[in-house]
Amino acid sequence: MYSVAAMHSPAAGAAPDNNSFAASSATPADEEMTHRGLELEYIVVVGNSHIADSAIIGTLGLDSHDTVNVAILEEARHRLFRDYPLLSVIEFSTRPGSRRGFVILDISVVERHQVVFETGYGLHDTYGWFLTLLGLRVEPAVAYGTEYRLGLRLGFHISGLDGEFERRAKPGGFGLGGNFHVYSQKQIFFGGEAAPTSWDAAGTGQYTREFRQKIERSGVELHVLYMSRDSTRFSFGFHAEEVRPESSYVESEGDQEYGFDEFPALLQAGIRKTTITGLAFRVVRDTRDRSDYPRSGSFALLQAQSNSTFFGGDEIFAKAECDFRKHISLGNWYVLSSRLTGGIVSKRTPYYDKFFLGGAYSVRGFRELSLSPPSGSDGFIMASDEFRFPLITSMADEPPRLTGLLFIDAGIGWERGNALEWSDIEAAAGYGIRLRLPWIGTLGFDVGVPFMESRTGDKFYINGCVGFSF
Amino acid sequence: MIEIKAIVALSTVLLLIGGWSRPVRAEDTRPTIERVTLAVDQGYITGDVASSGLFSERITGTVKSGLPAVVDFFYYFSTPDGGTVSENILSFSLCYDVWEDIYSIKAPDTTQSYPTFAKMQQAIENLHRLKLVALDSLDYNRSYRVQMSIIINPLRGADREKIAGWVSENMRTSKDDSWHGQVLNLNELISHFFSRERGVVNQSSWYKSDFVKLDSLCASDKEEK
Repeated sequence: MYSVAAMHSPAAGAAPDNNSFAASSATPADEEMTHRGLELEYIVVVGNSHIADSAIIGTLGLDSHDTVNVAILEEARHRLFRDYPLLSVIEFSTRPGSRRGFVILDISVVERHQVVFETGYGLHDTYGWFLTLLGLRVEPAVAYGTEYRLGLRLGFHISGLDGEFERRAKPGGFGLGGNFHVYSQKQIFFGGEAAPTSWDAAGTGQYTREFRQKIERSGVELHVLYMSRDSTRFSFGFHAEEVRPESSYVESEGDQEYGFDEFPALLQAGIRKTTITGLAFRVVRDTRDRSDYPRSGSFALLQAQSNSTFFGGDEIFAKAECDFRKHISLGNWYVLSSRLTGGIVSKRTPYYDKFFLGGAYSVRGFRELSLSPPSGSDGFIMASDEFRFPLITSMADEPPRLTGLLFIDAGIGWERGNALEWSDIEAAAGYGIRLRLPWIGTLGFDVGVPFMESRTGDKFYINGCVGFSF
Repeated sequence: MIEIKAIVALSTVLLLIGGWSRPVRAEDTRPTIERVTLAVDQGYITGDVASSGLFSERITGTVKSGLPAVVDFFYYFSTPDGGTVSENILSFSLCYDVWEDIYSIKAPDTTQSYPTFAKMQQAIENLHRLKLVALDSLDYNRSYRVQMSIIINPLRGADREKIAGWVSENMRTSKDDSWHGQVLNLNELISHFFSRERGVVNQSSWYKSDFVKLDSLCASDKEEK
């Protein structure tokens, strides 16, 4: 028996690498093969039922009698993955050809289901929890790289149907996308004993009563995508939406109904059926190593929209938002994460398109949307810092099963015409946990303690979360 | 109510059809770790690793054609309270020079050659004194066990992204980041539970050794010497 113990004998004083998964790359043995050269005899494809053999082989860029080595075959495999998102698995293997030095390339593929049914749940940062009762995702074999998605959602404060399609943009290329939605939403706002009309901008009252107003929204959007070579995504497009706010609202507890005249004065102007049309621009650059538990990298989002009567709409307003996140790995799933986000709207922006602070993805430690008046904030700045640490680890290279976190959030919203003061900053600190479950995903909660008395009188508040807050 | 029942029934039928008809590849040999025996050698915890099933038809064909196959040994040490330390991967390339008619196993620092495929196979399936972790990086007074898995692939190493499984691919956020959700692929779920055939599996299940105390391992090493 040949012992291979001598093979794994690092130089004296060196130790196995314990802190990173660093597999060996191309080896001198591979280079020798390259120098001598192996020739491709022919290619066999198995496992495909929708995509033709010729289409797959044509993408590879390989012909009979071409020289092959590991690097050439890996590049061909990468090309196939890139051009055929319909293929979920692509495996290459070879076998000896008819003569020495000739190889036969075997390509084994698994095609995704063209039609995929989904179910799930989610959390909207304005409208709360919802279920995706049934979702449908279609990637037709005749339109490679295009995906269609349809979702039927049911939630406490949002229900309806939405769909989207996207023809993916390759790096350095263009794509096309669009979406539609038909929603029934519940706009939440808080008021004092004398109903929401007692709200004042300083927010010194105790607003413990929650109110809901039903708003129906249906709209479409069409946009052009461009992905730069460094994977920054740009989109520019047109949208049109019809909004129908109800002219009454109810108290969440007790269901007492209030009429139009009892709305806060700032809301009354926006309570009418209206059509919003305009143009939108969005830039996203995401360099995070992973989206479910980012340990390094950053995320940057900048979006702006301009709505006018040019395309037949009723409203003239503009809105801009930005969101920057940074993640720094401290080793072994210990991560320091920071976020800075802000936004501003122009005059005449309908209240339901303004900003509402407070909640799981906003300033934690406060009830959802409770940090803004019923008419919304015309602008806001928010900052968060979070330290994430593993509590129960998982298998190698997987996020922890249970993660703890410590956070501090601060935000300030302002309304046009009101003086801005430092005392208007709302801040809270606290802790949270995230549990990663099979099939279900990552769920958790954050317990936040406000630094100052909250508008709703809560000494602390627990926000439920899907994934991390940012 | 009748319409809802009809929708539910139709959806169930479509789901079962979609899950059942997923195309899969033929069953292939699955690697297995038979045994990992720990010892102490020159300041390291070493392991004798006995495995089988590494050489499926695809792996054998790839190596004999002159292109390499890569064997990755994933391992980590764990403690009785569930903590993990010393995660690492050891990779070996299995090669064949068609012109010189020589097989070889290449580790990061050394290469060992063999005259026949059978001898190379025997060598990789019976690794001796594999250095796993430096002794001074562990707590001498605690118990540890090693957990190990093998992945063998033709042409390249293990695909890191695929190891995490498809569930983690389904976290979704909206384009403007206004909502966060988790979706469950019902087709995959049904395929997982009801599909008769499984896809090719080139990864072994995780082998778990017994817990050993380092001081007893070191004592055994001194007795042998």
